[in-house]
Amino acid sequence: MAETLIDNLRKTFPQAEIQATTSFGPALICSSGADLPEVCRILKTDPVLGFDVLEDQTAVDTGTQFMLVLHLVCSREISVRLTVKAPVEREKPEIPTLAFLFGCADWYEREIYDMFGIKFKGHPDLCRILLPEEWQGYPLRKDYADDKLLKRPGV
Amino acid sequence: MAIIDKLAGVTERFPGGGVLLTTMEFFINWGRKNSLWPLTFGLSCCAIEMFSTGASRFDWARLGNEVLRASPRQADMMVVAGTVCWKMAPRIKRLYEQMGEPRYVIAMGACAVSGGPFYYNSYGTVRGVDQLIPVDIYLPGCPPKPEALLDAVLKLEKKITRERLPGRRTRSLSN
Repeated sequence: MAETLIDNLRKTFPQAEIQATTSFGPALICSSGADLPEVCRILKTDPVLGFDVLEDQTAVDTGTQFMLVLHLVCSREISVRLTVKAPVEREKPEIPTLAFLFGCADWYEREIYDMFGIKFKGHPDLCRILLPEEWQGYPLRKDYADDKLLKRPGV
Repeated sequence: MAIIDKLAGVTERFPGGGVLLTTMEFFINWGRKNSLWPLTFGLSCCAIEMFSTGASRFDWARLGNEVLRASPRQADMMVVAGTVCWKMAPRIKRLYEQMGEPRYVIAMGACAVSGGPFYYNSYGTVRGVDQLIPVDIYLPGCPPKPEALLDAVLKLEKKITRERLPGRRTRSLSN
């Protein structure tokens, strides 16, 4: 099952890097964030792949760049899962939105914007979702600091 | 008769019976402590224990804590049950200010007492609700059992009996 999925992915995206084993199915790594909407559109509409459920969307701060992480599930066969990753520059954190493809991406992207400050171009209402509106900074960035935060001593 | 015997020292029987003498202070505090009206207000997991304390198994109405009121204007006791975050802080302050005087606060659980497990490395947690509003009883635990909350309510009632008239002054809140 997993092998045929990877073969199908290789056939559909010959240029993309594909990792066979992650904790959430195989991983498809986009070379740039600008490709992401097109990749997701193909993954969603392709009759063979059919990854039409966005189960989770989050981001990782690696220190040098952000990595947007998507977990897709095929609604026909719930055990078929796929991780999609796309890099985002740290200096200019911008990436096209997926809200027009997956409705639930709307709030996921607001949360990612809230925590990492990644701006989603074309998002219908990009504003903070969890933190107060007047909050300064993005707390899940590695270099985040504020005067209220207390570092655990000795760590 | 038995109850009146237990109140020796604060009541005085009038010769001939039928009349009791006591102080206003005792009488008013006695009324207050036996009729606390808690606010329906829970922040996180401790609130589950608070609901349990209010429900039939533990039933804090036995101690004079009647129904949980949905409006702060009808309540005079607030159990801060759970983690206080900076986004919630202005709302808690507003709810406290809307409650009628005299008003009492129980900080329930490690988070409301001091920030608890979120004391360090948390951008969003207020380290103790006493940074926002005055607290009468601190109840540690993560979360405290319903028995512990009942004990906190009894301690609060004990505290109320010791209050001096004309009652507590309105304590102004900083900023």
